[in-house]
Amino acid sequence: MNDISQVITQDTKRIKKLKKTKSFAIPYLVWMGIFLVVPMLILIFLAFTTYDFSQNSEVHFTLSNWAYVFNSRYAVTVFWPSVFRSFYVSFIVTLICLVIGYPVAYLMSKLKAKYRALIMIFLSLPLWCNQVLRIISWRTIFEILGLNYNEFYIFNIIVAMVSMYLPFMILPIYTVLEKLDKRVIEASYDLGCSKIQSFFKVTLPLSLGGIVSGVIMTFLPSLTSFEVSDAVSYNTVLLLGNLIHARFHGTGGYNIGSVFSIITIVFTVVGFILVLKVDKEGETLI
Amino acid sequence: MEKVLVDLKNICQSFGDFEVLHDFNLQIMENEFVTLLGPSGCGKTTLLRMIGGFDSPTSGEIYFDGKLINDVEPNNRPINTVFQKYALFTHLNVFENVAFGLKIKKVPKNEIEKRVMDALKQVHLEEYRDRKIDQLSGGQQQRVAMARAIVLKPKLLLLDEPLAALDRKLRQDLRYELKDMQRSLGITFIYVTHDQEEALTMSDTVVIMNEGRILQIGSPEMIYNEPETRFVANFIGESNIVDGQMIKDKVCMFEGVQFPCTYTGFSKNEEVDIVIRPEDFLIVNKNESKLTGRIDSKTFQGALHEINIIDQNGTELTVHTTKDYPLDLEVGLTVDPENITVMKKPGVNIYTGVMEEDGYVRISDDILLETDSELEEGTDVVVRILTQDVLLDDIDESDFEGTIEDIKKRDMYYDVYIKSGDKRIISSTSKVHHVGETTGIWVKKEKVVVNVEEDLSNE
Repeated sequence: MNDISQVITQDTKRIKKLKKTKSFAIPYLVWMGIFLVVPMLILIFLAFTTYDFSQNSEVHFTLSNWAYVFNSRYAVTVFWPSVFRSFYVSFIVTLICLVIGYPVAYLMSKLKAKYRALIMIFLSLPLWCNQVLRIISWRTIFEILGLNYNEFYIFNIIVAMVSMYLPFMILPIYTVLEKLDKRVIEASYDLGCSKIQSFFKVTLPLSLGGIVSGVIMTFLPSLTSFEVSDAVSYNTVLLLGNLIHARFHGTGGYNIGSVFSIITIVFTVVGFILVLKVDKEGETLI
Repeated sequence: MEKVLVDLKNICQSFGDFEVLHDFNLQIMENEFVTLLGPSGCGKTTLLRMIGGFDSPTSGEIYFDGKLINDVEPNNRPINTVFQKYALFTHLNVFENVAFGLKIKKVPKNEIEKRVMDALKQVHLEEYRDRKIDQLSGGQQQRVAMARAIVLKPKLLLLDEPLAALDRKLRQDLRYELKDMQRSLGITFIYVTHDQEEALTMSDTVVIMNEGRILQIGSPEMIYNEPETRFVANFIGESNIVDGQMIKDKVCMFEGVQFPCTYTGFSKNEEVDIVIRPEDFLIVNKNESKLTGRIDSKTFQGALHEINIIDQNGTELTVHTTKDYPLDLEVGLTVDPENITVMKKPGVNIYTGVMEEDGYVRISDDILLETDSELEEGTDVVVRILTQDVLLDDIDESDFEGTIEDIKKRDMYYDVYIKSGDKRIISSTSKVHHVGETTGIWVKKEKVVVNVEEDLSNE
């Protein structure tokens, strides 16, 4: 009885405290409202109308923007091949990041704290340097290596993206592995597992949440990236990101660009739903 | 005759400078329920992990069923463990957790089904077979951990504080279930706990440990009724421990009153510790005993009253009775001869010395010891070191060295008499040494007790 009443009073205290601190969340909610929800509404508005900002034209509702993206020569020859290419590149990049990243995360989780910190510095150090600069240096490297030709462009894009997004694969996996109870691994040895069996039957399944987070964290940015292909392939290899970039960078393409963006957002949302299915508490999302 | 299942020989373990286990020897018989009992940090979990194969000793041998298993990987030992906080596989359900070990051993599917269900029945969880681990209560998780271990029919089951995370009532129920399970399965259990009640109710044999050494081994009754050291008496249940003397065989004296007891073989007027359990004191009329006192405070504890009595010398004694007495009542206390436990005082080496720089104390030309003392340089002091704190080791590891002059066997250890320069020092150790041997001697600095010389007269 005593215990229960204690728990209840603790809970009411916590709720009271929550009410007091609730107001601290308001600035962020306002920020979200202005810079996330409003732009989304504008995107939807643009995608379904003929409104042109630069000419301040009349507003007409239309589905022609969508028709253009789903049923036109442009759609068949440029848009969907680029979407397909984007998925292909992102898939390869994610796979390579996973194959390289998992062992690094695993090793890190086994190391002593000071070596762990050292690897963490190696991982985060490139992030201190401007992203555009890093991409341009890759272009220079490929030029030095003589790889600045058509047939190498996809390869170059993949290499540059892997270097760009690898930390985002390693960190969520590391977070999960580091939290993993060592006794659970010992329990698997105790029940007869060899080291390899223990890895595949216990460690790997228990780190699945981290893997899914890592995959999303690398797959989505590679899907929408435009700077890498822009720089490394001299804007000859078109990816989804390049198409969107081109529409908004020039003039008059906002309506079609909005449709592209909405399609991309749909991909992203599907991705996050997948993450939440595997990782219910969202503990691996950074 | 009974067969030795686990034989631990001269096990030492250190992490850096910290010695976790000190020359540890223990034999465990087949079908025995052995409990390693001690405060946290006493080395009991380390010992269990060595038997399980998760740690290896710095030196010493572990035999299982007659075979040396120091280098055998845990997955190749016919030993299973119930881990602290259970260490269940949260990605698997109850059935899959229990079936895990059988699947690894490639047991046929229909046999797995049967054995898992048998094990789940044993722990009363048949209906929970498809539950996820995070849908179970603590007690149920504990049962899954048990089932997962016993389903493999190990010869030896190691249990690392398996009940520590559960609430009191559940803990008491599970104690009896564990004991029953051990009997019906015929598996040897090594059980680690810091809870003396658990140790006393379940075990065939209790091993009391402190600071990496065995203090006493025996049946729960023996440990409770005849503690050999102050530490054991204090750790196992509540005790009144008072200074006393053995007047002659079968007569002891404490609090200025002589009592008949059952102990013999002490020297005349030898200083001893007297242990009396609170429930063994009998409250009588003030004029019926020479030991009298006043009831100072009392608490009602359900089945009994705990009464604190201040006796004629101002010493506080705790008494458990079923009868209630009023506060401030003057009463007499008696105790039956067989309920008085007499313990030898731990041996102590006493020297005079002089403080030097940085807390060092000089005892002789050869002997300079580090201490925790902050006394000024040049202070004359008295140095006390318990014989059990004098450690013998390699010469290069030690503070100073000496030659062994004599060795006397005691119940659980040897008293080794060593001459170093013009000083003699006694070490109580369980390791075997030989007369004439030269040995290194060292004492942890916190074990060197230093008092200013005048203090002594006040004692």
